[in-house]
Amino acid sequence: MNRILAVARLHTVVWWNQFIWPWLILFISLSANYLIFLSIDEAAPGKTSTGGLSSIYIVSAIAAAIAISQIFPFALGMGVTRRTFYLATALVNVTQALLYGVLLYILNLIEGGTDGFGIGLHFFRVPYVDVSNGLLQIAVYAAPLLFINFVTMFVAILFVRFGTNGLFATVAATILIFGLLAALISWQNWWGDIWHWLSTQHQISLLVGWPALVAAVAALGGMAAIRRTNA
Amino acid sequence: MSVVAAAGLTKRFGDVTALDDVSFSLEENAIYGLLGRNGAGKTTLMQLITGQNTVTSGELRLFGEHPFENEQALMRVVFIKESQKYPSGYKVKHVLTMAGRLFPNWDEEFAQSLVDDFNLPRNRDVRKLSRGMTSALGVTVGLAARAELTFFDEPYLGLDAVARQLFYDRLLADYAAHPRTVVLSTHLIDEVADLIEHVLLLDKGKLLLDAPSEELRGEVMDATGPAAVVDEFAASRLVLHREQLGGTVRVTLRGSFDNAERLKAKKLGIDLEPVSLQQAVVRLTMERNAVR
Repeated sequence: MNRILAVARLHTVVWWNQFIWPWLILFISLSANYLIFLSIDEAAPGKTSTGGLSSIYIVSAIAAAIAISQIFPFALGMGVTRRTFYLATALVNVTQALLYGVLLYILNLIEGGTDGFGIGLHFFRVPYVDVSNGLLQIAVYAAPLLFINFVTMFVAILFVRFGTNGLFATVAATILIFGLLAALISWQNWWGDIWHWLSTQHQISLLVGWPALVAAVAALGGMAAIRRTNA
Repeated sequence: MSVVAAAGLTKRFGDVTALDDVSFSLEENAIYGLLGRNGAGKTTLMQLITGQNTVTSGELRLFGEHPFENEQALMRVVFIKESQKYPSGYKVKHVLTMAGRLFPNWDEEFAQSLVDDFNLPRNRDVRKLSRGMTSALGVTVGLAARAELTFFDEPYLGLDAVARQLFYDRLLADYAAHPRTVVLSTHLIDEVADLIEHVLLLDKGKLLLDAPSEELRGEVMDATGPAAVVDEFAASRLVLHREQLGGTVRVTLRGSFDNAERLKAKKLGIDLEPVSLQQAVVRLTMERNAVR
């Protein structure tokens, strides 16, 4: 465990990159949205929702890709095993997702308490993503982070292991599989059933359950793939 | 127990055989020279020992254990390579901080003194360092890690002569105070000839030579003199190389030369002198390729 914590520092030693950038970009996004919605004060109520929150998920995905493409080769060079590196990276991911979830929830409360920063802005309390329970709200913010980080890491591992051809082959195979699946669904007229299934899914299942499940599968896949990867 | 033991070690990349049935051992507290031409398999060998890659066939033990994914064994090794990549955003100080956390025998004071010796800018982005400074950072990590087994794979690309001398001096001094097993892989053979206690020579994936450098120095000799006598003297030995200028011939010979032999050569008017380690390596490598 000590070794895992030491290796985890590989991700946080440049704390500016790991922590400050995602939040700086989020706050710039928030500021831009604030100014925009301030200038259109006649905006109809309920129409002041924005997707600016997504920036933190995108920045997080970029950090996950860098973790594999750049920090992994350095770690191997420093005598760290693939297994320890992966466990340490997963630990950082999970910790970060929970921490970001809490911070986003605090901002969510601030937004609620100030009536949308005084202008009715819905930046953190985006419709559908806004749930009533505090712990659930943290999970709603955190699960998609886990999803995007572990899926990005898995793809990045394939890239490091198999190179450009491997990456494109994976993308091609994915498109082929989903394309055939879509064709099958259309042919069998299953779309209606699928939409019905989605609409009957609980909000929390779609926001937390399914993303977390896919994240877990991607995490296990990444672990299996990295064990034979040479940087 | 040997630090490293390899038996029949083979590594193939597709249809390229990078290492072919290599057997040797590395013992405690010695400085090894891992020599050979580009593509001889030096880096591949070090990658296998340090668990960076998997063995195709044969046996390989590091501190008596399989190296691949072996945390306990790999923590006792440092592998400094010219091609080491550093993450973006990492400054010199970050690399040192992490090395300090990852290598159990890390000596921070020694590391800081090396940073001063090499004039390394602590706050500069590693990716913006010059070739020579990147090498100096690698050398600093490799020395201060004080790992029981230390690999330097062409560690001084871009390092000037003064910095290289500094590296040799610091290495020798620290080795004297903290004996360990060091493997130097380099093309600058003459520069490190005095450091190396044992030579491993690879050529096209085969281990060509595994001998103490002292022994090698006494075994490979240049004999210069009149053609007839030199050729007669050389007849009972392995001739690695022969060049003739008028009636004078110089041959590079491999064999044992005891005092009686040396005296005999002197009487015949043959000038017998040991060749440099670099010349010995070049001649041995070329001779093998000529035989093929």
